[in-house]
Amino acid sequence: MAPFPARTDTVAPGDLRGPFDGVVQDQSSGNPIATALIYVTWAYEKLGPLPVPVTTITAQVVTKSDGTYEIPVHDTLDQPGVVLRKFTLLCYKAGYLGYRSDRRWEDGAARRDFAQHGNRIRLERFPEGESHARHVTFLGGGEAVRRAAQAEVVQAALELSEAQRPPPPLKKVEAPPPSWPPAETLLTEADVRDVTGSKLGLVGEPLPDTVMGGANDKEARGLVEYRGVHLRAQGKGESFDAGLRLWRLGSADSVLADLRQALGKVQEGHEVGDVTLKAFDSKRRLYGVVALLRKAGVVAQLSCGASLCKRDEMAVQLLQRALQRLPMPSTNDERAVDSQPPLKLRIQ
Amino acid sequence: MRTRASLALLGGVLLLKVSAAMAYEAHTTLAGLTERAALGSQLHRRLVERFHCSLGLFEPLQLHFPQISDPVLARGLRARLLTLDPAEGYAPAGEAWLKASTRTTPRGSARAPEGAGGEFMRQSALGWLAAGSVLEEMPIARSVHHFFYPATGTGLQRPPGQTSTNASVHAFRAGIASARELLTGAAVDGTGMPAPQWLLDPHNELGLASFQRAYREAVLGETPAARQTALVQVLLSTGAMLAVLEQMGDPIHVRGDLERSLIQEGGLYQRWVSQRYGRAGVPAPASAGGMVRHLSDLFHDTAGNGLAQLTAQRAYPAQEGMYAASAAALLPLTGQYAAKAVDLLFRGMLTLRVQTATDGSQRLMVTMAETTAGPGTIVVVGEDRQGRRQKLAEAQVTGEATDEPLAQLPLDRTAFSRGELRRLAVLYTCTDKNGEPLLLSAEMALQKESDPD
Repeated sequence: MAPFPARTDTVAPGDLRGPFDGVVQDQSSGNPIATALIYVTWAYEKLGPLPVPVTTITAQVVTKSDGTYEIPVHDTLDQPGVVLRKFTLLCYKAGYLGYRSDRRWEDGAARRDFAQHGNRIRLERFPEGESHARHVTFLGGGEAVRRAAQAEVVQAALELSEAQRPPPPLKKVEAPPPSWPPAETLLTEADVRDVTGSKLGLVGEPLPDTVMGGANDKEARGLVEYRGVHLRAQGKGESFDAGLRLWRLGSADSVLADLRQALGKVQEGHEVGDVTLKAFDSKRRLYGVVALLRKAGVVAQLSCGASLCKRDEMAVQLLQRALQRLPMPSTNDERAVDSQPPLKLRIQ
Repeated sequence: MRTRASLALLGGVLLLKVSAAMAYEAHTTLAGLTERAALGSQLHRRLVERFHCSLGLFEPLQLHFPQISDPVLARGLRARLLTLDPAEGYAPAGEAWLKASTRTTPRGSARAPEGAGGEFMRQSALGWLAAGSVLEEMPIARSVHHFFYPATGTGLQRPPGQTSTNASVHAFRAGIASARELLTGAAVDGTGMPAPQWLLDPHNELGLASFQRAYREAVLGETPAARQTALVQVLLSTGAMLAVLEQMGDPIHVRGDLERSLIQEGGLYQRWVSQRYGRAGVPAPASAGGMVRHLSDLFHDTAGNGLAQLTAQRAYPAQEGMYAASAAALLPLTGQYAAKAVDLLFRGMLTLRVQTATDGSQRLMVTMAETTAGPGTIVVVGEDRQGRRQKLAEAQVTGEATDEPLAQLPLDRTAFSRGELRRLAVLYTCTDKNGEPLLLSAEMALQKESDPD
């Protein structure tokens, strides 16, 4: 026996098999709602001391232009020991609160006003601020309902993402960068001999910063540190020398731009750091290599005479060695944690 | 006046029936509790963060039956899923139904259930979770393990005077056991494991061990189909474990005077709850509160704050006038504990960052937050443009606190160096400082997902 009446004006029980008919209207205006999805299920169970669900058959229609719907009578399954247990009707139209024949949205209580014939479904506009996640979950339904409510499903997901957003991290703590070692330890005679194979004696001396225009320029570019060393070959010309300049800056890209311009025709790559520029001054017979390490704010320039560095790869190697001796700054993310700070573990 | 023997027989039958018909109904109350708990937990965020499910709880996920290694398990799972009612929102749709071009059937209803046909079924993550809660009560015999008497720490027990043979025969007559089960001795014998122990039982294919196995596969599985199937199994296991816990909010499941309660009441309260709230009307959980240390603490703890203990402390709703007040108190409390269980199973967060050294070498930096951990293993896998994953690195991690990240793993595998990989995923398997198993994972994109192949 169906838990709903045959018609709205009688208490005589309806028939789970149907047929079903009714009209869908806007709650406020009373206007019919066309193309609303009507989704129905017939649930079967196996007879016995304990009810055991067996299967569920579904059907769907959309309301006509006058808001009416008709569900034809259901041909019950012809299986021994299996009975039709339950009928459920869902109605969904985007922009409205959904309707279930068994349960009310307002208080979750059982619905008592559904009828087999002449059923009147009054859909209320979806209230602003109401939870789409809660509504989609309340509605239930099979694949047809999920497809019809796809836009609302996306809204539900966004709503949950917003509600469950993790706490924002505390401000990023930049550890003060460690000071650079003296220039003469960054590029040594031993390095040059090792990379180039040269047996010449080299003397190291400070190399002043001639790239920066002056105090104003240094301030504008946020200069933190500079190191420069010139390895001069004793008794030989400039093409037997090597020089290294290193800057740590707030705006490293601007210095890179200046150096790129100074080098003229350059070959750009990524052998060292984020950007590597290589050039050859044929007049002075000098290889020049410039590298940018953007995150660390470091620009490095190495010059090597062609009589010392036979190929540009040697200049690149010398620059790599120097940069490996630079201590790089680290950052610590301190994330707000409800109870305990993050545990940091050491690899065995 | 009933004799003791007949009382014992009656109690035996009622004992066996209680879990099926007089407990919180799985397809309404338990499913509704699970859904509300999930919405109130962090699971949506975890699905987004850990598994790249952009819709979180509403992400459609496919269960590919050929990916389930045990064909018997796969067949049984499909059969049970086909019995679910789509009206409740947790019945998955089958491949054949999804591919059919015509949906509207104005002249008559379809003849086959929506889940039938094809090699996979599809449902939202939340739907799979709720389905798991319903499946935990299928078959009915599983529910003998949903009892726990906090005063004694025991599960379902036979009433005095009833033998296991008697109980098995009555189970057969009650339709709870089949003739085959009766003949082979596998029929319900009126006893069950304590509910917390059932979650840990290796024979429980929807328990904690299954959850852990599936979780690993959901991260490390080679193909997208394998990983998505495993993720569905994670959710089914989670939903099933929640159902066992939620039954601790049912007074019948936590009382030592079961027989007296049954004979006097016969589970009318539980039926009233199902009729009053259904699935869609189950009230929201109470606010979550703090995290527990152990999964078992949700059932019982030394302070008496386990759900079974709190439920048992309440006066049993012996009359209809008490049902509304009991439900108003117990359902939100049960939902709260279910939400805590979800947050415990999915606790913690990993963050990933690829760092490039000055010499061009690359390392994966793994950091952890929101929880504490102990010794364990980190596995890194790379995913290519076809979605296939391969292991890139593995490291053992100790529980020493240092200033370093959780792990720094070199990424010098050829595929990674050549830029052929689209994503990295990390699985961290360990036990936390409370001795509780912990699985954490994270993914990161290495290039735009929309980059052409």
